[in-house]
Amino acid sequence: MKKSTYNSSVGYFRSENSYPGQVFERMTAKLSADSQITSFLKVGLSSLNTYSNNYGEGDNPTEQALRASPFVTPYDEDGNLILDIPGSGGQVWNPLLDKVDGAFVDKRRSMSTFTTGYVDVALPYGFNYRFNGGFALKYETRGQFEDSNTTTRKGGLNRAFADHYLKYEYTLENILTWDKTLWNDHHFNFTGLFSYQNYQRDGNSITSYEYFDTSIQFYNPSKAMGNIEGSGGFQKWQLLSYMARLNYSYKNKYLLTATIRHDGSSRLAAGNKWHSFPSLALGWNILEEEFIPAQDILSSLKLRLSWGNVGSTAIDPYQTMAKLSTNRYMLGNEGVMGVFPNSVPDYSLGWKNTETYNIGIDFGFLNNRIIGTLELYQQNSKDLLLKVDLPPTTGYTTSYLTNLGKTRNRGVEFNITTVNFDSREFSWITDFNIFANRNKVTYLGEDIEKTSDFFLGQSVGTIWDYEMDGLWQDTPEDRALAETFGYATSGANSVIGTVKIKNHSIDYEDDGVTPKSQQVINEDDKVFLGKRAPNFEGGLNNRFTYKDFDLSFLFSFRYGGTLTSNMHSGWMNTLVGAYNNLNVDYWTPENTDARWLKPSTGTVTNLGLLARYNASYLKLRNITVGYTLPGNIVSKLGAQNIRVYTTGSNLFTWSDKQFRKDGGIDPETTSTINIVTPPVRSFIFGLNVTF
Amino acid sequence: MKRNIILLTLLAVLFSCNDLLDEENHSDTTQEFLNTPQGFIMGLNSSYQILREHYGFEEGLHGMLNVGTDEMKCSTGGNRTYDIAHYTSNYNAGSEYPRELWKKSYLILNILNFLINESENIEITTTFTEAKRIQYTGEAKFLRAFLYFHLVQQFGDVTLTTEYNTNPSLAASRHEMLDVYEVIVQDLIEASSECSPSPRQNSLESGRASAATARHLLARVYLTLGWIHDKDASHYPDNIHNKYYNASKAQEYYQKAYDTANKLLTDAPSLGLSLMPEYAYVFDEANDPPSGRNTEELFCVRFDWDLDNTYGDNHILNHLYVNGYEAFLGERNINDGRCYSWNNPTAYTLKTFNNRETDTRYNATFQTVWYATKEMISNDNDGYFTHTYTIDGQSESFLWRLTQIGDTALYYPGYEMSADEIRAKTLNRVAGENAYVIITPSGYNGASYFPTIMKYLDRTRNQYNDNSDRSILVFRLAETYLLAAEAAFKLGNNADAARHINTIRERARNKATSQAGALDIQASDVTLDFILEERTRELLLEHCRWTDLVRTGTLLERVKKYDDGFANANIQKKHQLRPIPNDQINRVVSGEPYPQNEGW
Repeated sequence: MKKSTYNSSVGYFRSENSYPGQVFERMTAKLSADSQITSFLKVGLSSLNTYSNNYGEGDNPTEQALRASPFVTPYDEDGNLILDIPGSGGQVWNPLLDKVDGAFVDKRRSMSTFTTGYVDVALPYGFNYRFNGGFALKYETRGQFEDSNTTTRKGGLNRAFADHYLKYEYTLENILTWDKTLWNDHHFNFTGLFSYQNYQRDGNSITSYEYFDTSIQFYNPSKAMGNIEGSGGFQKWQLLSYMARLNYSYKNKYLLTATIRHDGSSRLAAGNKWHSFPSLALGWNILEEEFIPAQDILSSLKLRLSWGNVGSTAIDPYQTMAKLSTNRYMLGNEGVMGVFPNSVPDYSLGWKNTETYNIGIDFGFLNNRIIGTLELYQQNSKDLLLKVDLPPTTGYTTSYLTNLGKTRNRGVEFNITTVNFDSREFSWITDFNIFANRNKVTYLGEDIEKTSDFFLGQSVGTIWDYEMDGLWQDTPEDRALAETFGYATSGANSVIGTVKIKNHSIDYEDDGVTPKSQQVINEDDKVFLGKRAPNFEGGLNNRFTYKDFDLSFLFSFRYGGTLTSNMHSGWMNTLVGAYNNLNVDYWTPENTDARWLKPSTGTVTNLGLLARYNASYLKLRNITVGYTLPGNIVSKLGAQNIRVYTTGSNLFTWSDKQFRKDGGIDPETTSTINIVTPPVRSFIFGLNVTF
Repeated sequence: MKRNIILLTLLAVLFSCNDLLDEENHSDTTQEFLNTPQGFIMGLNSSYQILREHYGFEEGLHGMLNVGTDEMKCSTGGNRTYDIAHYTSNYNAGSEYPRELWKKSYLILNILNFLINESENIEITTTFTEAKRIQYTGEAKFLRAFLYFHLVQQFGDVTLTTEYNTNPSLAASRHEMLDVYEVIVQDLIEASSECSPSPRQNSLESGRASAATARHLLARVYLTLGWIHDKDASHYPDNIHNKYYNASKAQEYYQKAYDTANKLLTDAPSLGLSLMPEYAYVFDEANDPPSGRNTEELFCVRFDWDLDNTYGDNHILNHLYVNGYEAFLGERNINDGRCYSWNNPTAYTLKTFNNRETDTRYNATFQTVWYATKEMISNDNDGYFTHTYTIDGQSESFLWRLTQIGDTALYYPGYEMSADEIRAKTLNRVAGENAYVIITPSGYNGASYFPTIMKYLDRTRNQYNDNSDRSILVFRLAETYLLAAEAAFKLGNNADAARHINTIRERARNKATSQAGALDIQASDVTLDFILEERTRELLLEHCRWTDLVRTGTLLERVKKYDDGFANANIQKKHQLRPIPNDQINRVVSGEPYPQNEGW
C-alpha cells in the first residue's frame, strides 16, 4: 500500500527595530513529504529554506548621542547638520549624520537551506533500520559602507567592508533499533547508532577606503582610491560517533536504560581524539508496586536514579597545530611581511569530561491535581578545556589551551503544578519552579592554588578584587590614614573624594609585628567579593480562565549573585572631562555622602569597584489576556474556534535599590551589562482562528 | 536479501574511519615554515616590527624614557602617562607601560633565539646566500641585545633565555642582571662584525640594523656597565647599583666604551656617516628615512603609512608635545598639530637651552610662532578676548583679537618680557593686523601653555587629527660623540671629552651670527652636569633621558631638584627600577614564585 503525506508552507516576516534604519525581513519556504513506498520501506524529505535581509545592524550611535553635550543643537544657524560636537575634541560626532541618506549602509543577506531526509526500513524480528541525513547550507554576504561624516569615521576616509562566506554542515546517521517484548512482562528496546558529522566554513572579506563616488557603496572595491585590505579563513571539523543503548522495562514498574558512546573529534590532538562515554539510568514506578495500597492521595510516584558521562569538544579547530602569526614592516622602499610564533599547542589535548549523578522524584497527588518533580544532582567536570595565560617570559602572549582542572556543580531543582480550581466557569492553575546551583573549582594542578581566572575552592565566577571602603573624606582620620599610604590630601593630586580601598593586607616590618609606616595597596589586598552565580532562581506562572476569558501572567525571579555593570564603568559613566555622563550621585565638597567619586579633568580610577550590584530581581515577564468567541458566532463565520488575545512583555522589573538609583535598567544578564540599545517593552495583539 | 545488501553497503561506505578525523587547514601557516630560508627572513622581519610598537604606540617607550625626568614632566591634566611620570601611587605592578614593554620584548626574544640558534641549519639558496645568512643572523643578534638592554636598564634582573622555547611552562626564574649584560655584549660584538658595515652602504635597506648601529649601542652598553660598577655607597647612597661596585672594572668598561665610540667616530667618514651640517636638518621631515639624506642616522624605526601602503603604519609621537594652541587659534590645523599636550618641558630644560643667539638648538626644537587660520573676535569687549597670567607676582591681563588670517596669532618668545613690553608689541599695531597673544615663560602653566616641541611634528598629513607616518630616529651619530665624551670624562680625560663635545656644539652653532669655535668649551668646563645638560640640548625627547639619569645615578637627585610637576615630591628609591608586571608574577604558579623588585 502506498501512502504519502505532504506539507508545505511559505512565510514572510518583517520587523523594524525601535531604532530607525534597522529592519529585518525573512522569507521562508518549507516542504516536507513522507512516503510509504512498500510495506517495509518509508522515505521522507523535509526542506526548510530561508532567505533573509538584515539592514542597519551595525549602525548605532547611541554612545555618541548619550555622550554629546546637551547644550548643543545638532543644526547650525543655517539649518545644516553640524559635524563634531564642540567641546569634545573631535571625539563625539553628530549622531544625526548617520541618518543622512546613503551615509551609513549596512546590509546582510543570507540564503540558507536545512534539508533532511530519511530512509526507514522495517526488518524482521523486531529490527528497524533508519538512515538520517541532514544538510544545512548557508551563504551569507554582508556589506557596509560608512561615509566620511559619520559617527564611526569621524571625518576620516570613507570605508567599505564586504564579507562573503559559505558554511555547510551535514550529518549522516545510521540507526538500528530492536524493539521486542519477551515473556510478556519484559520489554526491550535497543538502539545502535553510527554517525558522521562534518562542518566547513570558508569565506573572504575586503575592507577598502576612500571612494570618490559614495554611491558605489561596497559593491566595487576597484573604485577605492585608498588602501584595500583582504582577509578570509577556512575552518573545517569532523565528528564520528558510535552509540549503543538498551532500554528495559519490567511491567512498567522497573525501568533501566544503559548507554555507551564512543566519539572521535578531529579538533583534538592525535592519540586523544576518541573517548568513551557510558551512562546508566534506573527508574522505579513506585505506585505500580502491588504492596502499595490503593489510595486517593498519591496518584503517581516515580523514583529516578542516573549516572552518566558526557564530553565536550567545544573548541575551535586547529588548536593542536603550532601556528605562526604575521605582521608587516617596511625595509628599504619595500613593504615586507614577517612571521612569528605566537601559540604553543597542547599536543595531548583531549575531551572535557563531565560525570553526572542525578536522583529525582516525580510525584502526583490527588489524582494528579498536584504534580511535580524534585531533583538533586552533582556534576563533576574534569579536563576542562581551558585557556591558561602563560608568563610572558615563555615568549607567548596568547593563552595556551589545555585540559586543566576539575570543577563540581551541585544543585537542586524543584517544580510543581497545582490545579487550584477546576470548574466549568472558573479554573486556576499555578506552575512554580525554583532551582539552585552551587559550583566550585576543586583542582587546578599539583600545588596550584590559582590561575589567572580560577581560584581553588571558589566558585567559577567568583569575583576577586579590591574592596571598596567608601570614599576618602576630608576628616582628620581619613587624612591621617591617607598619609600612611603616601597619598596627597591637598592640591590637584588629592585623594579626597576618590575611592578608598580597604587595606586587607597590612605590610609589616621585618620583625613581623610592627606595621610599616608606609603601607601599599597591591595584589595582596584583593579579596573575594562574591560570585556571579545567583543563590537561586525560578519562575511563577498563573493561568486563569473565567467563562470565555483567560488570563495568565508569568513572574521570574533571581536571588543573590553580584552583577558587574559595564554601563556604569564604561563610556556612559567616565566622570571625566566635558562629556555628558550618566546621572549618578557623585562626590563634591558640598555633597560628601554621595556614592560615586568626584569627577575630574584628569584620570578617574576604580570605577569598576563601584559598578557592582546585587543581582537579585523580580520580573513580571508577561501578561496575556484572551477571549474566546462564543460558539454560535464562531460557527456562523465557518470556523471552529476563534480567540483574540493581547500580551504585554517585559512589563515591570524590581531590582536592587542601589542599581535602580544609579540608573540601571535591566539586571537580567549572566554577569555583565553593556547597554547599547535599551531593552524593549512590547505589546502584542493577536487573533487565533482554527478552521 | 535486497534489504541486507542496501544495509551492508551503506555501513561499509561509512566505515573508512580514522582519516576522516584528520584536520585540514587552509587558514594558517604552521611553525615548520620557520625552518625554510624564506621563513627565516620573514622571522627576522617580524622582529623589526616590534620596534613600531615600542616607539610609536601610546603605551610605548616614550612614556617611560622621555617623561618623569628632569627634562620633561607630564601635564597636570590627565593622560595615560600621568601615573608613571609623576610617580603616583597608581603607578604599580599593574601599570600598563612596563607590562607592555615586558610582554612584547619576550614575545620577540623567542623568535630571535630561534633565528640565532637555527641559523646554521637553514638551507642556503641563490637568494639566501651564506653572506646574507651571516648578515641576518648578525641583525638578529643586534635586536636581541637591543631588547635585552631595554629590559635590564629598566627592570634590573630579568629572565635570560637564549633558547627557542616551545614549552608552555608555568614556571620562570629571574636571572642576574650582569649575566644578561654578558649576553648583550657578546651579541653586539658579534653583530659588529656580522652585520652590513653601514646604513649608507651596500644598498642596505633603510630600517635594517648595521654594524655601525651595533657599535654605537655597544659603546652605550659599555658606558652603562662602567657606571654600574662605579657607584660606591658613599657617593651614591641608596642606589640600586651599590652592590656591583668595583672601581677597576668600571675603568675597564669606560675604556672599552671610549675605544668603541671613538673608533666608530674615526671610521664614520669611510662608512658614509657624518653629522648633518645644521641641527635643524636632522629632524627636517624632508630628510627622514628612507630618503637617504640623513647622514647621521644610525638606526631608525620605519612607519611610512600611506594611502597605498598596507605595510606602513603610523604613530602618535607628533601629538604628544603639542601645546593647546587651539584655545587661541580657535581650531586645529595640520601644520601645528593635534593638541594632546601630554608632556611639558621643565624650567630646567628651557634654561638649559642657553646661548640662543649662538646656539641654534632652541629655535630648532621649540616652536615660537603660530599664525591665525580664522578670525577670532569676541562678542563683547570691543571684540577682544583676555588672557591672564602672573608676571613678577602681578596678575596681568592681555587683550587679544585675531582679524587677519595668516598674521601672527600666538607667540612664545622663550624669554621673559614685562607686561608693558608685551602690550607694546601686541596692541598698537597697524590697522587690520592681529592683536596677538604673547606667552612668556611666566605664562607656562604645566598643562597646555608651553612651547610646542617640533622634533616629531608631521606637516604632511591629510587631516589635523591624523597620526604621523614619519620614521623615528633611534640612534644617531651625534650621540656617539656624547658617549665618547662621557667615557673620556669618566676616565679623567677631560681634553678629549671637551673635543668631542665641541664637535657637537660647533655643528649647532649659528653660522650666520658667529665665528667658528664661538660655542666651544674648555677641558675645565667638562663636568657631569655639563654633559647631562649637553645631552638635553642635543637629544631632548630622543628616548634616552630616563636611562641616562639612572646610568649616572642622578635620577632621584635631578628629578627632585629640577622637576616642577609632582614627580619631585613623589619619587622614591624604588622608582629607580620598574616593577615586574603582575602578569609575570601572577602567572608563575609552579616552582619558585617570581621575585618582585624591592619596594613594589
